[in-house]
Order: sequence, then C-alpha cells, then structure tokens
Amino acid sequence: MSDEELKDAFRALRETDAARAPRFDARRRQRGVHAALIVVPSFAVLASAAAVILFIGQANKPAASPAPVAAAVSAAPTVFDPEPLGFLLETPALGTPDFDSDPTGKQP
Amino acid sequence: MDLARELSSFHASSWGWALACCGRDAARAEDVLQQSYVKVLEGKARFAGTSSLKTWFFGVIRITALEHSRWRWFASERDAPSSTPQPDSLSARKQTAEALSRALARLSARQREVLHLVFYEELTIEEAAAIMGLSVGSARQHYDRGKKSLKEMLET
Repeated sequence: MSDEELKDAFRALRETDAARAPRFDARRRQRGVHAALIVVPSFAVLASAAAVILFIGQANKPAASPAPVAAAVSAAPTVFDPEPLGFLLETPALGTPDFDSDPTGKQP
Repeated sequence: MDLARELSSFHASSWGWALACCGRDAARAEDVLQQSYVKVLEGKARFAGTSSLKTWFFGVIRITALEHSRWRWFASERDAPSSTPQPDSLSARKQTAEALSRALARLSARQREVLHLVFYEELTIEEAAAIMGLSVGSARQHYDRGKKSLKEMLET
C-alpha cells in the first residue's frame, strides 16, 4: 500500500466524520455532564456546611449547670496559707525572759 | 481576534481530532470538543500565540480528552462506542473509512495520534510533535512504526 492510498483512506474517513460533525456552537454547554462532576462537589459543599452548622451550634450552647460536688468545692472558703512551714522559723525564747516579775501577778 | 469565528473556521478538523482522541466515540468526542470550546472562550485556556491557533487548540482538545477519560469509571451506556453501521448500507468510501478506523483502533494511542495529525489533518511531523508534547524524533518514530503497522493491517 502506497502513502497515496493511505492518504486516500484518511480522506474517506474525514468525509465520513464531516457528515456526522455536530453543528458549531461554541457557547453551548456540553450535552451531558458526568454525574460525578455534580454529585462529588455538591456532597463536599453539603458536608462542609453541616460541619460549620454543628460547630456553631456547639459554640452557642449554654454551659451546663455544675455538678453538686463541684458547687460544694467552689463554695468552700478559700484559706490560703502562704507559709505552711513558717512556724519552723520561729525561734523559741528569742526574747529575754523577765525573771523579776511575778508571772502570777500576786506579789508586788 | 474573534476567537469564536477563528475556532469555527476549523471546526471540522477539530471534530476529527476529538474523535481520534476519544477512540472514535462520537458521544465522548462531542463532549470533549464542547468542553474545549468552553475552556477557550471562558478564558480557562489562554492562547499565548507561540504556535498557530489550530495547533494550540488541538493541544487543548487532547488534554481535555485525557481529563475526560479519567471520569470513565463513571461510564454510563452513552459512553459505549457508537454503533457500527450495517455493511450493506455502506458505500465503498464508507467501507474504506470503517476499515481504516478499525485498523487505527489497533495501534497505540501515540501512533494513532501522530498518523491522524499527519494524514488526516495534513500537518507536519513537527506540528504533530508540538501538539502531542513529544520531541520530533519521538514523534517520527511513532509515525514510522504506526504507518508500517497500519499498512500491513490494511493490506490483509
């Protein structure tokens, strides 16, 4: 088979194709869009919207009332001793004892 | 430049190329060609002017066909190859075209594409290489091997 015969076969193919070529209408949208092109992005958008709504719902929810034990703990007076071992530093008999005075206060 | 008018001037060639890129499936080729037009006219694909508009647009069709084929796993009945006309209704010309079409389908995609661009579109191998994104040497190799196989198939 020569190149010319091959070219002629391609010419025949071109004629056949031309006979069934669609009309040129560049602005027309394609005839059928694959379902996936619609379904997948739509699902993603819906899922994102649902997640945002759930998050906002959780954020705006009023805080639950505290449990009774927690309330008792929080109501207890807070006593805070800054130096719990401070008494160890208190030196006994730091002052001079007064032997002249009667500790009972009976003698003048 | 009125792009729509320019594109319409080689619409038949674009259709033939879309068919070649879609395994001669007319339904897919129509979708691919339409998507390619929309890409260009909506500015999603921009013509830089480094080649002819036709060469560049053929590249857009080829890429669009590849993208389209990735969705084939969603294939429905409409993606089935178009029905083959009954032989008795075919003229000699149509029979030749059918025989060529069947032979082309048995070649590799690269061989089919380069032969289509050279014989059907009457482009040079250099232009075909540019459209296919190949080196000229590689395109020439596909062309030589493809032509040899095609001739053998058509002769038997």
